[in-house]
Amino acid sequence: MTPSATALLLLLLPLGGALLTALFLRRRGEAAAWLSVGVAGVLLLLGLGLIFSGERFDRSVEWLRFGEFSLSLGFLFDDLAALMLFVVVFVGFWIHLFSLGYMKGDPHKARFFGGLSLFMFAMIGMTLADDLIMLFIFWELVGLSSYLLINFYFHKPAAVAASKKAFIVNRIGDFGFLLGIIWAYWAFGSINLNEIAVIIGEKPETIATGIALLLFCGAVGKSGQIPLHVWLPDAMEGPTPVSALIHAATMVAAGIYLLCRVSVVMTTEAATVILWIGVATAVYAGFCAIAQRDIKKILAYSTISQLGFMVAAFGLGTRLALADGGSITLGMVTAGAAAAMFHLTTHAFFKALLFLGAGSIIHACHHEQDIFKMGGLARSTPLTFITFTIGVLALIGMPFLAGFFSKDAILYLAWQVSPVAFYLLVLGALLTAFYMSRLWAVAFFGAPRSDGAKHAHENGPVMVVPLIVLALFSIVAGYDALYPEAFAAVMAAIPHPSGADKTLIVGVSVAVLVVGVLSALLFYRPGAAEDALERKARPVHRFLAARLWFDDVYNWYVAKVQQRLALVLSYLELVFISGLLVRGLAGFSGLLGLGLRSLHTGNLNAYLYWILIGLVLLWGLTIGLASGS
Amino acid sequence: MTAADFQALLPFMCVAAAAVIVMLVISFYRNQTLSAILTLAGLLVALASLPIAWSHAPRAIPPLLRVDSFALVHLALLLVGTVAVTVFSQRYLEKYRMERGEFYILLLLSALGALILAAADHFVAFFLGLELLSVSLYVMVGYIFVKEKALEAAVKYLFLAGLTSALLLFGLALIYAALGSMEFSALAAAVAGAPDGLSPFLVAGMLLVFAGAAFKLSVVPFHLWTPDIYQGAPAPVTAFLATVSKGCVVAVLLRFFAPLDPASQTGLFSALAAVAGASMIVGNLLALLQDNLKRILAYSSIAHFGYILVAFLAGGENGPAAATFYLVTYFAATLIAFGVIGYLSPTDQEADTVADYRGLFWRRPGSAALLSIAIFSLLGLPLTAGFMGKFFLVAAGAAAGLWPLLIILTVSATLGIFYYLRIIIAMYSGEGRKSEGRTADAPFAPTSATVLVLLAVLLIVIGIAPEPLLAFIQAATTLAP
Amino acid sequence: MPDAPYWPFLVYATLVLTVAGGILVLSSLLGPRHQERVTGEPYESGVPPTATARLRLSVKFFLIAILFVIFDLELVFLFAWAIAIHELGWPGFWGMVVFVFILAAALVYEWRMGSLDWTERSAQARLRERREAFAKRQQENAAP
Repeated sequence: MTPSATALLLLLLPLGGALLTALFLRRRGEAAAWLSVGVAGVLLLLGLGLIFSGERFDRSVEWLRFGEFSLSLGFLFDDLAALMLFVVVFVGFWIHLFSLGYMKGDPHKARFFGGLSLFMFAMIGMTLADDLIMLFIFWELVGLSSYLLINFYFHKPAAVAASKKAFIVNRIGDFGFLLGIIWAYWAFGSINLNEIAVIIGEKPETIATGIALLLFCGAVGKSGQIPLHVWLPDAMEGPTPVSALIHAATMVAAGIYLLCRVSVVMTTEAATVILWIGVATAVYAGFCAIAQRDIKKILAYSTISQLGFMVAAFGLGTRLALADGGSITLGMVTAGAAAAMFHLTTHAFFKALLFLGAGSIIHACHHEQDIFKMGGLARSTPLTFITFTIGVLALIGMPFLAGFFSKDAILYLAWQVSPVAFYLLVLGALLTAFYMSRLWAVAFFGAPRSDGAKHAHENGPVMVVPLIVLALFSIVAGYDALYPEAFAAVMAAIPHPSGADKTLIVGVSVAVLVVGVLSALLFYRPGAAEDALERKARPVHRFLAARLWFDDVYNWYVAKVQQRLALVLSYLELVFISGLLVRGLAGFSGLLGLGLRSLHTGNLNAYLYWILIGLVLLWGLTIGLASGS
Repeated sequence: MTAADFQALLPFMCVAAAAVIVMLVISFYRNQTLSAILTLAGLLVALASLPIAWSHAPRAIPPLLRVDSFALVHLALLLVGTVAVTVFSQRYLEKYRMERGEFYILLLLSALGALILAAADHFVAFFLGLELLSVSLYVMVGYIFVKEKALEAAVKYLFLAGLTSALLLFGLALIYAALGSMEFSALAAAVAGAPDGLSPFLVAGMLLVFAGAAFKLSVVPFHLWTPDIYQGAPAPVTAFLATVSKGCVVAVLLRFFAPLDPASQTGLFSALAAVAGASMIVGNLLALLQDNLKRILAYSSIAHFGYILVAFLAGGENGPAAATFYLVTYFAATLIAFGVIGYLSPTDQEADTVADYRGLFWRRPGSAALLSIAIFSLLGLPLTAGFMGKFFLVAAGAAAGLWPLLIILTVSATLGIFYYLRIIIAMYSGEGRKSEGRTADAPFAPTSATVLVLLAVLLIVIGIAPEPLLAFIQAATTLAP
Repeated sequence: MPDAPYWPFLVYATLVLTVAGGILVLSSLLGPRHQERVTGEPYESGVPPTATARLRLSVKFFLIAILFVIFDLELVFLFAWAIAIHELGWPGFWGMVVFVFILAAALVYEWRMGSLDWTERSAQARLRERREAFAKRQQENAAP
């Protein structure tokens, strides 16, 4: 089988699975579940085969032609895509397996697994896409499947609202993305990623900051960066495996992947904007996480924060690459892209692990999500406790675990480019250590504080095995020497501090870790029944819980501004028609003795007048501009 | 007239003959279903005769008509639209116990008017076609005369269409005064002969003709009738109004404006651009406020024809093809939407508020799925035909450099998510609460189900593989300037 | 004809306004003005009116008038054809045959619909038949 045929198969298998489920297995949840897990397993095997075959290719077929404009469908499979594909199929498979246990007994299992297959299809398509339009199409499909899965418990109004919010907020980002694609086509005359790189290589003046920023808009929406992050915490209304797969490990990282794919169009200005948005998000989300009680929301804010790290890494590395007249060329993996993708990979492992652990806890505690109502889980669910602890340690950057290495690479980049960014990111890391220790200490220790937690017990092997596998990877994924040859291009570009820098960065991150963990443990006490921050410093807590009022501003905008604008427009029509025109003109015509008015036909008269007035306006426009030219 | 002429005119003659036959049959044997079957037969024979006409294309039937590939593509589209409307009407009228087959005579005559418009090459044919279309529509809008809303809509439509017909006629008079001829080709010659500007009479005339056509397309500022009449008219008639009666006008406008060069006619084209931009904005914004499905679709149709005007303004090689392609996608989606609404409407009133569709998926999954596909396509979601349609519009606009309009298109189309999504969410929410919403329980008739499913499949297929259809349309709609 | 002078149109427009306005103005200036007891009453050759002028007419007249207008106007085309019958030859003849056939079909339709029945009896009989048929159908529809 040729590599591109394998790629096509990778795409068609999950689509076929989703279609089969939708058409025939809607009422047969068990069969749908096994089909979906089977497909995910085959995807894993095929994907690994493709990745380690060492084949890298760019193949496209013309899809449609319109005038001079042609649209092709194709695969661009380079090392970047290989790494992303590895994350998607690997994490995807274990989460599918976990879902078998988690969704046991749910009457709508078929819809769930159908949605997962659809998501795999879209995500793989996006990973392999070789031009912006195809990328955009799959990007939208990913959004659609995310929408369907957040909406899974649609009898809960919160889930419906969350799915709607996710869809709409993402569309705002996508709208910028679309404008960026249009602009890119206008500037480069092509939307194929490699062709764009070639064109930029030949004519560097075609590059524009606007294009990069508009494309970044899409990433802002999908990867939950400020100011479009508001949908991600709400998206936790979906089933927990969905949160793990889509809203932690893969889909939300798609924005980072997109940035790395289009790094050739970046300019220094764009990289600066990207960098600061990433830094701001990393710190902001860290603060938000402190005031959350819901285990999944804490993890969601943590995800946003980590995505901020990745975005910042990309911006930093791009600045570095472009500094002193440098340029990014076709096929080049910048230090920023490498660091971002490295962190993306390690994050995918430990965050999926954390979410699955959270899912396991929630499942064990009979759907209790408030960490202050848990407690004592270290004893009742030991395996989950151990794996979850590994996840926490990896996330907060415990030396020799995965997160430590990838975070250090990012901090090192920041140290080279901007000290301010460096200190802010260190603050972000401190916050990470703080809120994760809080979660860990409160949820696992002390006495059980609710009925659910009292009767908690360890889950079956279907759910525990994925935890163990992911925990293993959370330990080893940080050693780039362990990565096979297939990812060499990415791994070689990861920046590693050395000498004095190394001492500094390792020292700072270990110090931050110790300070964060200790202060959290001292402040919250393991097994606390209530939020110490809320009790001791109510204003601070309230401020953090308000999350800078982003949601309120958006609600206000939609309810007051947009709705108002539409209302004003309709009033205008109403006022113009019934007020001014009917009264005014009818009075006028009454004066003329035309006797045209009557209350019942008033509306109709108004329509007639409106048409005539419009015609006069158009006539004016025609004549006015015609004589002006 | 030669035999070839007659063969080229076969589609028209089939539809006309069907009207006479239905009328004669009604005189002796009144049966709604029989009338519908005869109508359907006439339309299908007309469709079948298209290849015969194609073999003689391009053929001018002097002085009124020109049967070329452009016209035939539009004829096919209009005939298919009418077939769908016929199928929907049969069940709808039966529900009202309207044993009145006269509806089909009107439908056929209206369709004949639309066909004439699509092939018009002369202002007289233009006017004849438009009047034939409108006069029958007045009656069709008020056909269910036991409903006051329908009567009100019919009266409004009569008055407004009467006014715009008068404007159109005035425009024709001005053009005749300026050109001394009423053939489209004379207009082309006049344009070619006066590169630095046309006479004000001619420009005014063309503007008035455009106004007459714009009323049918319901673009701003001629859009005010749309929501009232969409809401009041019976659902199948609304389907006809929204598709066939607009599609044929797009065809005639494309042909009418084909000889014009945007660069030399800045005044006229800036007026048209204003109409297009205003339609997109007003249509999408006002749709946000509606709670009535028919009104939402009415306002969104204003926006959709704003989009089509963009392709129309782009002109050139790709404009007509993009507009025609968009029409195909719009036809299919709109027919499904109104077909489903007509089906779900109980006799006492139309099921047309968004609340009526709450939890539809749990009551009638098939209808909900069809409606979802239609709405996704209207919204322009990737992998549906609507996305491809919008894509080609944007491509055509980009080729012509209409950036401001394209930005308006993208921005206002984004607003569409808000109101389209409301319908979708309503349909999929509220599981188990079966009593919600007033929708009829009657199952779909097999004919209608077939038509609806075929249309839905078409939307998906075009969304995935638009190339064959697009290539065909591009080859067929190249208008000689 | 872009170079055609516009002034004839202006003259024409002025003329129209002058004549129309002039007649109104002149008649109001020159016309007699007086208000007596019978000024407002209709003039019926000096005889006082005996009843209101608003008579109730059967709607049949209206229908017949409409039908007459349709057929009368359509028949005008026959005259035009008759004048040019030799020039048009057989194609013209067949064209006219189709035209007359459609007219005849419309006539048949009207006749069968009862539009041509003048007397109350026959019209009412038809109406009754139709009502009965309708009621029967409704029973049939309601039965299952």
